[in-house]
Amino acid sequence: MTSTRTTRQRAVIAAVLAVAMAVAARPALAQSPSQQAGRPQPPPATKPATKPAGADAASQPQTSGAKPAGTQPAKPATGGPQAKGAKAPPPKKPAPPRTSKIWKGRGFAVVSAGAQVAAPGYTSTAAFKVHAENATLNADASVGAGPAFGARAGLRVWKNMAIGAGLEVVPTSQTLDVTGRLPHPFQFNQFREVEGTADGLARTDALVALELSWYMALARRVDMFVFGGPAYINVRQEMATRIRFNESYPYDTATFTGVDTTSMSGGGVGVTAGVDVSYLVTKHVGVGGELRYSYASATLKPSEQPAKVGLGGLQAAFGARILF
Amino acid sequence: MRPARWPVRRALVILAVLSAALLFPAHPSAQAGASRHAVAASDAREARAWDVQITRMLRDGQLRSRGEEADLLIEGRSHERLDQYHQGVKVFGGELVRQADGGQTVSVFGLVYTGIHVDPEPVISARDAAAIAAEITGAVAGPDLAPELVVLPTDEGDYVLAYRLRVLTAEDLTVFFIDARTGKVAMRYSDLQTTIGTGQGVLNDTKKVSTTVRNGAYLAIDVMRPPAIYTYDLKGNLARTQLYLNGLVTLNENDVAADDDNQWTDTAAVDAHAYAGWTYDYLYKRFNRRGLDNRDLTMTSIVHPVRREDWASVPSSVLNLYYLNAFYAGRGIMVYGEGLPPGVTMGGRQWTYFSGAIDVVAHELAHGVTDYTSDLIYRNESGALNEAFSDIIGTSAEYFYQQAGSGYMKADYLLGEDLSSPSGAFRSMADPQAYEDPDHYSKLVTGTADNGGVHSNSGIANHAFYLAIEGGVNRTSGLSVQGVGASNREKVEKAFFRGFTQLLPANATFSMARAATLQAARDLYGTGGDVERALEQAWTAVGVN
Repeated sequence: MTSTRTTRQRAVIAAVLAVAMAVAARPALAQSPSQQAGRPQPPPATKPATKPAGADAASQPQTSGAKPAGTQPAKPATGGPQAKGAKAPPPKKPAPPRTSKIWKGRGFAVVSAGAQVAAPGYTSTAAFKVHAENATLNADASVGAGPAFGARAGLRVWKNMAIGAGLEVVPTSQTLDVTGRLPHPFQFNQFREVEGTADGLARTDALVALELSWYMALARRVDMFVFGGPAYINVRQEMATRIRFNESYPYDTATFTGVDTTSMSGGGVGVTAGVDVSYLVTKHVGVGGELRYSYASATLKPSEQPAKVGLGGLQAAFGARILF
Repeated sequence: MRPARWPVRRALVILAVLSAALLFPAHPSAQAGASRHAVAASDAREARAWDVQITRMLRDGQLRSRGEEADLLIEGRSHERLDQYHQGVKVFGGELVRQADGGQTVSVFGLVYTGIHVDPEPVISARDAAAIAAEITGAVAGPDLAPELVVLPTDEGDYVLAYRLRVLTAEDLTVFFIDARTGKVAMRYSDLQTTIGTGQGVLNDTKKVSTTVRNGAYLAIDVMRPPAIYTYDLKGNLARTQLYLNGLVTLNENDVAADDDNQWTDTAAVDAHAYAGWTYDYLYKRFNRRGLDNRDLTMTSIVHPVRREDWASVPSSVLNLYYLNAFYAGRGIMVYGEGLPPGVTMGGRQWTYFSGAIDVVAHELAHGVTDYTSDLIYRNESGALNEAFSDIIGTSAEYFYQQAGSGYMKADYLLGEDLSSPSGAFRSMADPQAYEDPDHYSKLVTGTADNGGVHSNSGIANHAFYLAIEGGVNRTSGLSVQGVGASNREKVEKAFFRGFTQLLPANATFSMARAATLQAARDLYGTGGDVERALEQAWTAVGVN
C-alpha cells in the first residue's frame, strides 16, 4: 500500500485541526446581552429612592438602599431586600423571536447522515507486463452513490458569522469502465483489445474542513447556515493495476474478467461549501438537512502513470442540530 | 453559567480525533480467520510475542524447523523456515519464516492453521495413492517421488488427511492430493508454471519464447499451444543424438534447452523453439490443422546435435547431415544442423544454425504433415512433390510472418536464404533454373541421385505455385500466367494444401498433383474461378498436363 500524502498536505491537515482545536479552547469573552439570555438579568440603573444623610459612598459600606455619595451613579441593588420605596424593576423581556435577523446564539453543532448523490470521476492508466511485453490498462472511473456521515460545529465570532470545523465521511464504491491492450503470447506488437467493467471497488472519502458559516433565520423556528471554506479531503480507494483476462489458443483474442487492484490513499486541499437548514424543536435542539459540495484532487500512482483523482462530491444529509 | 461552551469544545475535540483516525488509519499487521492465522510480525513487540509462541509450538511438536540459512545480503542475519505439523503429520501450507539478527528475532511471517481435528492414521497406503494417480494420468511416478502424507486445508475451510504427489505427463505436471481415508482426489492442480521469455534469434532478432519453469530454471517446453513443443539441447553429443533418433534412449528434462533468467541467449534453441510454434500456428490459422498429425502430436526439436568445433574432423556424411542440413526424423522430431564456426566457409559462404530460418523449420515440419497425410513416397515424382509441398509450406509460413522483400528475414520465394552469409539459397521457386533446378516438366531430372532428383524436380511444382500467385512467364515454355495476386495467396496455399494432403495418393505424379490442386480449387472456390484458372495456367506453363 502506498500513501501519497505529502508533507504539505499533512501540514494543512494539522493546521485545520489546530484551528479547530484553538476555536474550541478559546475562553469565553465578554458576553453580549443575548448571550446572557436566561441568566439573572441586572435591573436597569434607577434613581435611588432615598439618600441617607451624611452617608459617604467612598467610606461607607454599601448597604441595601444606601445612596452612593456625590455624583456617582447608583449601583444596582443585587440581592438583599429592596430598599423601601424603591421602584420595582421592569418585568424581564421575553426572548426575541427567532426570526430576528441577528444571530444571538453562541454556536452550533450538527451531526448528519445521508447520501452522496454525485461525485467526480477520474481516469487512470496502468502499464503492466504480460507475456514479456507491456500491456496497458485505461480505466474510466465513476464513483457511485453511497452513504455520507458528517458533523460540523462552530462558534459565532462576529455578527452572524461562525467559524468552525466540519468532518464528513463517505464510504462508497467505484465502477470502472476498463479498456486495455494485451500483448500476444507468441508475437511482439500484436495486441489484443479488451474491455469490460469492474464494479464494487471500495472507496472512502474523508473530509476535514475549516468552515466559515453565515447564519440566517428563515422563520420562527427555521434557521439556515450557508457555509464554506478550505477542505482537506483524503481518499482511500482501490485502484486498478492490471487486467485479469482469459485467453486460449490461438490467443488472438482475450476476454476481460476483471482487474487486480491495490489500495491507495492520498489527499488534497480543496474547497467545500453548502447550506444547512434546521428546524428547532426546542430552544436549542432541532433537526435539519444539509447540502454540501466539496472538491479536491489527489494524485495517486497505481503504476508508473500517476492519476489525478477527483475527490468529494455532492452530498445531502439529515440529522440533529444543536444551536446554543 | 457557561453551559454552551463545553459541548462545542467537546464536539470539536471529537471531530479532531475522528479526523485523525480517518486520515491516519492503522494498518493491521495480521489477519485472523476462523481456522488460520496469517502472521506478519514485523515490529519488535510482535516479533518477540511470536518468538515465544514459536518456542512453545516447537516444544509441543506443532512446528519443526526445516533449517536455517544465512542472509545473502545482510551480514549477521539468518532465516529459518518452520513447518507446521499436526500429530506428526505436516500441514500443507502451514509455515512460518523467522528472520533473526544475531539471535534476536526481527520478523515472523507465515500462515498457521488452527482447529485441526484430523485423525493422523491413514486408511490407504502411499502405494495405493500412487496407483490411484497413475490410473488417472496414465503416468507412473518413480520410487523417488513417493507420496507424502499431509494434512490438507481445503478451500471449504476443513481439513483432510491426504497423500500429496506430483505426476508428470506429456501434457502437464499435476499435483494430486489423494484422500488417505477414501482414496478420492481431494484436490489437484497443475504445477506447470508457463512463462513467456524472450530470446535472441540466430539473426539477432528478439523473439518471444514459450517456456516452463521447473526447479528455478526455464525450460524450452511450450505448453501454451495445444501440442507440447520441446526443444532439446544435445550439447554436441552426436552419439546420444543418434541413439535418441533410433529410439534407443529417451531424453529427459536435463536434455531440454534451459536458461537461467528466461532471457535466452542460445540462438539456435530460440529459433528452433519459436519457429516450431509459429509453424504450428500457421497450420492452425491457415488450414485449421492441429499440428503434424492433426491430433496435436508433440513436436520435438533437436539443436546442437554435434559440436561446431568438430566440423573439420567429422566424416563428410556427418558434416552434410548434422552441420549443413536440417531434417525431419519422424515422430514429430526435427533435427537442425549446427552450421559452421564463424569464419569457416563452405561453398564460398558461412553457415549459421539451421534453425535460424522460418522457411527451413516450416519445411521440415511440413514433412511431418506429409507423413501423416498423403505420405508421398520419397523418391522420383512423388518424392519431388513431397519436397515441393515442404517448400510451399516453408515459403507460405515465411510470408505469413515476414514482410515481403529481399534480404534477411524478408519473405521471398527463396529457400534457406537466411542461413548463409553472403545470403544465398538452396532453391528458388520464382526461378528454379537460377539454382540449376528444372522449371519445366520437360527438364525433369532422372536417375538415382537424390532419390530421383527430389530436391531438383520439386522446382517444377514450386514454380507452378509461384506462377499461380504472382503470375509471370515460364522461362522454358514462354507461357505466361495470370496469377491471383499476392493479396490472394491464401487461396492458392489452400488449394495446394488441400490437394497435397487430402487428395493425392502416396505414389502421386506431377499430373496427379495438377488434377488434385485444380479439384481443390474448384472445391474451395467454385468452378471457373480465378484460382482454378491461375492454377491451370501455371501447371500448363511448367509443362504438367
